[in-house]
Amino acid sequence: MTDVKFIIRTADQTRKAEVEMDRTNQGADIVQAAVDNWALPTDTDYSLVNVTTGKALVPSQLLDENYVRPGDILEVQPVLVAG
Amino acid sequence: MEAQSRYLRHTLIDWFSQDEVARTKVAVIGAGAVGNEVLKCLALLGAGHIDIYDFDRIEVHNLTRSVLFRETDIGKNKAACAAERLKDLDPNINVRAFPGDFWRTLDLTAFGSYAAVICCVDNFEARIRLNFLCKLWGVNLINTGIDSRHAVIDTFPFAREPDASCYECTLPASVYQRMSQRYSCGGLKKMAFIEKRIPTTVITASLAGSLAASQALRLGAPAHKGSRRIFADSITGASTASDLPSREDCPVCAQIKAPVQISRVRASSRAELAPLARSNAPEAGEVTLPEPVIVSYQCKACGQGEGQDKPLLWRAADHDASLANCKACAGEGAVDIQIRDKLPLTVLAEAARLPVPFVMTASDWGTHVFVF
Amino acid sequence: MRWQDQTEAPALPSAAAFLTRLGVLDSVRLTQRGNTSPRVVITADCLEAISFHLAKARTEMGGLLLGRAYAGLNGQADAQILVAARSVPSQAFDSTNVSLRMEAEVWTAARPFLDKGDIVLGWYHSHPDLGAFFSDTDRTTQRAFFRQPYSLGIVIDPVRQEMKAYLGPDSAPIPAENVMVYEGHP
Repeated sequence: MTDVKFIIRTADQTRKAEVEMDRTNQGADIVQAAVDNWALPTDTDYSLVNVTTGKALVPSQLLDENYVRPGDILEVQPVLVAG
Repeated sequence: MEAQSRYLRHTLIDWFSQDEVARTKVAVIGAGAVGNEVLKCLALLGAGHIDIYDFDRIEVHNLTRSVLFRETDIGKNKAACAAERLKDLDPNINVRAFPGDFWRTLDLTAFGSYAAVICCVDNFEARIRLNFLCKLWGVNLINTGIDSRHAVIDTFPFAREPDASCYECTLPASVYQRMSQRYSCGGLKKMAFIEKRIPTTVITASLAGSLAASQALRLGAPAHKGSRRIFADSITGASTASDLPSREDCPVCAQIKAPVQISRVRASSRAELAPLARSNAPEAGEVTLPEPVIVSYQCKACGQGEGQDKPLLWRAADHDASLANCKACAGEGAVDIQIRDKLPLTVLAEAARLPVPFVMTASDWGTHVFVF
Repeated sequence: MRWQDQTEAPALPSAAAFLTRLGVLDSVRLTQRGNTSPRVVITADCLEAISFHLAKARTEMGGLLLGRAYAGLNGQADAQILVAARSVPSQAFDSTNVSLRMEAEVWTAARPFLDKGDIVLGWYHSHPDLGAFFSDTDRTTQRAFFRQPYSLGIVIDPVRQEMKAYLGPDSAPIPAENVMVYEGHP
């Protein structure tokens, strides 16, 4: 069991937190934690982007070293549906 | 007015090829807020061939985000009205309007001729459907989305990179759960479902529109590899560009095996089945449909039903959950409905007419698409 | 003189163009099965003409197969669908290790069809009561005279009612389920 410490923020950058999480967690778990802790609107869907590496994370992606390194900034972006 | 002098300023930009833009053929699906802005940009840039698809009519509340629509246009079809305005903006370009559901009006035999499809719709179902078509046909897809603050532009370069990740690769599971709330029985619309309305302004629409047009016209040039997302904040001006990874268990990518071979065939009727009938071909296979169909229904209480002998083959999307209530014995939810998105060859042999525009099969060679 | 023929095989037309002439069920039948060996479509007329010819005598007989080859189903240029549309029976047929003898009239008879776009797809011959298989002699014949990647060799035992198909200079066996009979003219 290894933990990784990273920064998480919302797309509008009004919310920001330092998070320590087990690497066995998935991208979707980070999103869920952000929605819960920041009381983000639950009628919206969110995806996750590692803005440090410039790569989005697929929802089922484990937080292994190839995707999330210590100190990386992860952004929770709403999935925009209007057109 | 001579076309050359119209585009004179463009020709001064050393990386801008007016000829190439004039040759470009694009489809814009959805002529709403983002669609209006995309179309405006494409027309003013002199994009040569623009096809506009929209089933919807102009309403008064659209006017705050629709540069191409006037108060006198209320009630007109959005695609048809936008096409008229674009011809005013630049008479040199070819614009066609396709009023109606794009799923019905798209000419799939010509779909491969689009340099890009720009998705400006307002729901997940249409995005998922367009993504599937573009991935299968190897046509570049630009997906757009907005809310009141942000704009997103996804670029999927399927023409150059058939294996590029698709829209569903990064789609969160919550989207599927949300969509399933709108449907019961795997494809039938719920009778009373109130759509959530997301407020937007022309600010985010124009942000998404200009970036989408820019991305669409650059797809011919060797550029960034792989699928990419631009997420822009209209208030802070901050934007992130990120690579979109592939997902191993993506529902789209997992069922499409390269290369994809697209053939136009005749929809089968009994008479046309004879040719290979004497073959010793196994008939155990099945075809995949691009949308679910109802094959039969039967009331569990009174036994009344249809499709037990000859499959019905009705598009599930044409029906709602009221089908589950028996009309014969008035049993609420008593009807057992069989919905399929795969059909065995034996059913295909019985089908005089299929309600879908194409079917798919997989062989050891790859994926085969048969367009009717 | 050392003669090295370098004539390139003609580019084959697209299989999609052939499937366009079929209904969806036949298109699925043709493409859907668990191997990447070409599908061989023999028109019923062609098969009947061959059977009629080979039933005439209990000696080894044969002739040419004319038709079309189509490619592109796997994104490659090699043939994936072979359509044997007609046969040209040879009156004098003699196949040995060193020669395949058919009289000149065979080519005269084939010419009008070749001018219309058919190609010499391959050959057929009989093994009366010997079983349908390619002998070493047959393999040598195939390699020497039907050396295109799409070249088709069909051997029929009219007595035991067996048929087998082979492909290309190496006489690769084509699975029986890949050989289909087409009623009419595609």
